[in-house]
Amino acid sequence: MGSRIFAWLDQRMPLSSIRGYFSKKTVPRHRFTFWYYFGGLTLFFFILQVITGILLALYYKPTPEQAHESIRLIVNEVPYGWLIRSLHSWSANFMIACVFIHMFSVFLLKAYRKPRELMWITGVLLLSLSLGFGFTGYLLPWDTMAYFATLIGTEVPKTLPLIGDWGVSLLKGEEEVGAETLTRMYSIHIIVLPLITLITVSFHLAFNQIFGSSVPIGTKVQGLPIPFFPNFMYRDFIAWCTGFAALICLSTLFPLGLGEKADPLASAPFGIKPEWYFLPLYQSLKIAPATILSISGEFFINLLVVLGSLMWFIIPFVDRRASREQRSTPFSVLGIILILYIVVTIVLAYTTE
Amino acid sequence: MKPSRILIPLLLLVASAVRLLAQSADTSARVQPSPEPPVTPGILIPIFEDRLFMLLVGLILAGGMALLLNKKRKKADTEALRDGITK
Repeated sequence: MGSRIFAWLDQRMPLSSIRGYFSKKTVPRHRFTFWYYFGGLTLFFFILQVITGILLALYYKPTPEQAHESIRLIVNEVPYGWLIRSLHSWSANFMIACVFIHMFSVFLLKAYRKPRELMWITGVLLLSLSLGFGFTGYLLPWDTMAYFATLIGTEVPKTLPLIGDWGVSLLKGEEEVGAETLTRMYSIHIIVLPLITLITVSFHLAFNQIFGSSVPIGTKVQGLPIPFFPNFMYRDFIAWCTGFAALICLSTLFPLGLGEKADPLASAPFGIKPEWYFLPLYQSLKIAPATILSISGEFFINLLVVLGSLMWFIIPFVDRRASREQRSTPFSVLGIILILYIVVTIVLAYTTE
Repeated sequence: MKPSRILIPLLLLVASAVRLLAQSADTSARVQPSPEPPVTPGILIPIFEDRLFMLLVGLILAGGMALLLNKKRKKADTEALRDGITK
């Protein structure tokens, strides 16, 4: 039946040539092949985000009066609404974790080197977009924690010169976090970011199809590569099933709660912390002295993050040794230091008040 | 006999048993207030048995799919090996 449908469609569109093109792609077999799975896993969690997000959008109402109530409705009244919401939240965390793992594995294996520079740039852009999803989605339940965390979070970039004030007012739409902010966050979360992400993912996958997976410098390839279609694709799908199993465990055993409805006139509760992926920045701001090199500590950290992020985008052009297929130890050390810094600051933020 | 032929019916059986247990328990409250603070008293999450049921359904789905895909992967690998495409 399936082959008959394929034959029917093949007569009307170039399916065979498309399949032929995809079947040319191979995946190198070596001791680091395992790390290739995280790119596919990220895509899987993104697909889940889209599906669960659409289901939640059927009931969610983005106004301060109705947002919290609509979430209550989703959790209490809508059949399996609690599960869909939980899956949405947990898969967002899984997706960001996979993006980080994928990015650092690419960084340490120097897979960004020529001719894959654009693949790296689109990948870093996808990380920024994922963080944007996390930030804009956090306010949507309109509970106390979400409200005050967003209030503090939107104050952070204000110190940046030129774009700081403008960016914050564009995001908030008014002086305080209110109805305008919620509408803007919602539209950015469900329209702007998905659209940009879709385009960026398409480019990222197209580059991946064109250039294939890179073999790390000096790594011995073990035999012939694995054909991507269908051999590696099956392996990828098995990894997706494993990811889904982990996701369903957390979503059912630790379903997402909901705090009290936000009261903008109330005082901020004690111990507000952002999501784990913003903790390195939060902790850095917390431990920074009031002034560094005679400038404000907050401004210094923000500037460092902005410059560091810009540098991260252009790493393939900075690491000239890797482009010449030579080992570039300083960049590997930089990557390991960065991973350690992220892990330590997250642990510190969770363990200290 | 392949393990998948025993595993899937067994998991389905366990899932049905849990579901039956959950239904025979106190049905006056299918949901209970979440114990995790700070949660509005009006926010309800399903009782543990209901969540366990969904967990089992999810695991059966993921496990079944993984077994099926693994079977297909082995077949594809054998074909690729035969054709000399891979080692």
